[in-house]
Amino acid sequence: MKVMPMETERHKHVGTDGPESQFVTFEIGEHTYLIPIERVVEFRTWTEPTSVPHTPDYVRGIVNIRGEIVPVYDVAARLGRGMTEPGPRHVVVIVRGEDSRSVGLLVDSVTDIVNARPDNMAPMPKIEGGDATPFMSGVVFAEERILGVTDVDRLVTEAFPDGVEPGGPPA
Amino acid sequence: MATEEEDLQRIFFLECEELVASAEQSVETLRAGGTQDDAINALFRAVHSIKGGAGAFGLDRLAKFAHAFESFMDLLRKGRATLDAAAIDLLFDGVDVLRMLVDEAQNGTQAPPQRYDAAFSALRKAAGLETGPADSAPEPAAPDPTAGIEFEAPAAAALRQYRIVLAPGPRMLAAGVDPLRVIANLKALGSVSVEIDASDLPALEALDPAVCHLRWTIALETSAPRDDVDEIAGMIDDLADVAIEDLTPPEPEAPPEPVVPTAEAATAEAATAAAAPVAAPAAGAPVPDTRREKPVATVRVDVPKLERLGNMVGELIITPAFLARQASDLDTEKHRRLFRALDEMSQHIRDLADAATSIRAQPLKVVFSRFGALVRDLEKSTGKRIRLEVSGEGTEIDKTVVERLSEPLTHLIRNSVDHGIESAEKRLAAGKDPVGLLKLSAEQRGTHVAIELSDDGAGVNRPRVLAKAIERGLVSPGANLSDQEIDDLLFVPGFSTAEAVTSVSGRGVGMDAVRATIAEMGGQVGLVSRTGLGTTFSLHLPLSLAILDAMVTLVGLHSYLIPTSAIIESLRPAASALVRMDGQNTLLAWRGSMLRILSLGAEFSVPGAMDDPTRGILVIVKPAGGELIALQVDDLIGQEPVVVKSLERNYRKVRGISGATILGDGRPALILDLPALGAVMARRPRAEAGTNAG
Repeated sequence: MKVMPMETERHKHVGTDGPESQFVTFEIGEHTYLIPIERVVEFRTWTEPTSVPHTPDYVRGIVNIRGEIVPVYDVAARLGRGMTEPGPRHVVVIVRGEDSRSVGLLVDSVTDIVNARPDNMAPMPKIEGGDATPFMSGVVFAEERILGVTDVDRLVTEAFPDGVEPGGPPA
Repeated sequence: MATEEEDLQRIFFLECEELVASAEQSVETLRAGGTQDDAINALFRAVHSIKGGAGAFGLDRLAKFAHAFESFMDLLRKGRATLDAAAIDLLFDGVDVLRMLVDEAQNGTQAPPQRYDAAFSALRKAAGLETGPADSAPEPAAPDPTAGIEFEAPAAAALRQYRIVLAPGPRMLAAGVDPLRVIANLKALGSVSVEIDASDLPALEALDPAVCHLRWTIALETSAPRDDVDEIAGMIDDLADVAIEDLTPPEPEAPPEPVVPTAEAATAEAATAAAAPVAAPAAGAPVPDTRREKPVATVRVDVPKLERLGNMVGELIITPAFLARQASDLDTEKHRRLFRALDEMSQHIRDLADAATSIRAQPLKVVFSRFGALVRDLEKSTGKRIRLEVSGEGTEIDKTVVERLSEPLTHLIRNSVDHGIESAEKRLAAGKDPVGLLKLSAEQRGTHVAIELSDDGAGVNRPRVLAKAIERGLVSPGANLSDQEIDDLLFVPGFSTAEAVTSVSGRGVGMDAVRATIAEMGGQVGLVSRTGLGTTFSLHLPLSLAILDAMVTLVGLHSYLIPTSAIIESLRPAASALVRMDGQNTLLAWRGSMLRILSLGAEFSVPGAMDDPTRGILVIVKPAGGELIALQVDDLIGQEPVVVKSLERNYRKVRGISGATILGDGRPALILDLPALGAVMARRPRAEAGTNAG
């Protein structure tokens, strides 16, 4: 495997005292992840969404967000960590992708907001021939930990990364 | 007028794009070995529609090519040609060349001659239209290319300009007359620009709020007669000074004939024509609105913005019902003001919803206006004499509906001219006006728009329709059908009573396409025919595609919505009416035929859904362009208008689902895609036969 050239945030900002970025942190099991705050539309407590036939199991269903139909993805299931058994304390984070599609992300809890300076952020190294962390766009060093930043665009748009339409005829 | 013609052509080309895309998809389906009948019919309809439009616009090459293509499709449809690999290649080629020809007609980029010649001659050969080289065969009856397309310039009443000075007297406000009301009345006559003169306004201490100190100078441009202006002024002449001045520049020459042919005038004209059958052919001219359209300032708005507005309004619509439910156990006496406010709010929200719908609306005139030319062309090609009367073209309906209506209405008009209205000789013999009358009207009825096309022709020839249907195997011989059931046969795919196949008219493809297109838009087509007196087609369309009348059904704990327009009947089946086939299929004996039952619980893997059809409800539906199916649900909740939301906007297309809506409790529910479910059913029995047929 060959590591592709890495471009860090440092290249993009002049000096280390550029503007700070803000992230919302959420937890799944023992893991903490970040979402860029500008992508977050709102938080909702879990209520059972309307299920949709012929969809993969991480699609928990659809909810009504101010008159729009928005799918809810189980992030744990999406990341291959098993289905969440949600209760009233679980949270659905409504996020918006660059193409202005909205989805709800089912997570265990939303915990905090962290600030990060550019020199504390780095994109994910891209590895040729494989994607070890398909839904992470980068890492942030905060509170003496390294936290993964979720790739909202990818989560929002790549509903079916393998290109197989669920429920369709077997290939 | 060139611009109007260009507009219509532009719409036709937009339709062509869609039709070619749909044709391509059908060929793709055929190659993949998908459901053949549907794909062949769909392909046939697409090609047929292109042919029709090309004929009307005098696009000769396109029309000729489409005719050959269609003829081949017809053989395939009737099973007289086999759909082998070579045929599929030919179809691919045909669609390709069709696209090039559309492009050629639109942009002038000439289609490669070799490809055209090769495909054209191959199609003609395959269709049995020729045996030798392309040129030796007789040309199909193409419409007269010189016919072109011409439009009646809207008969404009002369515009006049007035300057009106309105100076309210001291008692005007006290008398309860609002000067702004007067201006609004003037505005209803035409375009208005208003200047306000506040120079008489006294200092604040001296101001008497009951007296109007303002004066207005109103510039009015109107086609309304002077009397209308005087009448408005007359209503307030004891309360205000109103000076009216006519500023219209005098015409150097005599004004053009200001006569607008009204319906009466046209009738009178026709009567004259009847007396002297050589009279001028003013027949196909549509009857324009007597009032000239007022110029209105407009704003361009992005469609997504409109959609957002629609979403928010859709959300609001369900709020009053929700609040009313929450407030239902409150004491109405004690909280009278709360309940009144609730009432008012729901009224305002309904008004708001109407306003939001009207933003997307367009007058039907956009599509109606092309039919004058169509009728004139049809007169030429059939030798019949027809007068078209159009009314209600100002009726507005969702833009998308307007765009999609042109094709089905064109089919219906052709059908009426071809099969409804008799030749002048036959009409005279029957004691009728030799000029046939075709009436096209539109009218808003509640949340729907009704469009009617009636002719005073011979009516449906039921014995012949029945005989043809028996001959085609659509009806078993000796079947006892009611008049309505016989009329309904006209809409069955592949049915036709046309004796001769021409380039303009159809092979019976039009009517099932009409019904399918209208049903896709959530509408219905009806037909009333009286022998010897004529036929009326009525289209019933929702004002907005965003609002759907739906039946809410329950399956397990889930609600699924079925478009009401497709529902034929709901019933709880007796065990004796059910026939179990293999593991997958159960049939319902219903009105002498066997319907396949699709259990939504099984199809959508709904937990807790009922297995046993005798304990549930069967909803018999007619998917657009498909066979009847019986959908098995657990229960029916009720019928209500719902606001259709897109699933694709944030997610993607889901098989069997056409969209979603938000029910009164604020939760989303799914709307069924009946044609897709019909296709699921149609595939089932063939599953064993193998899917690699292509």
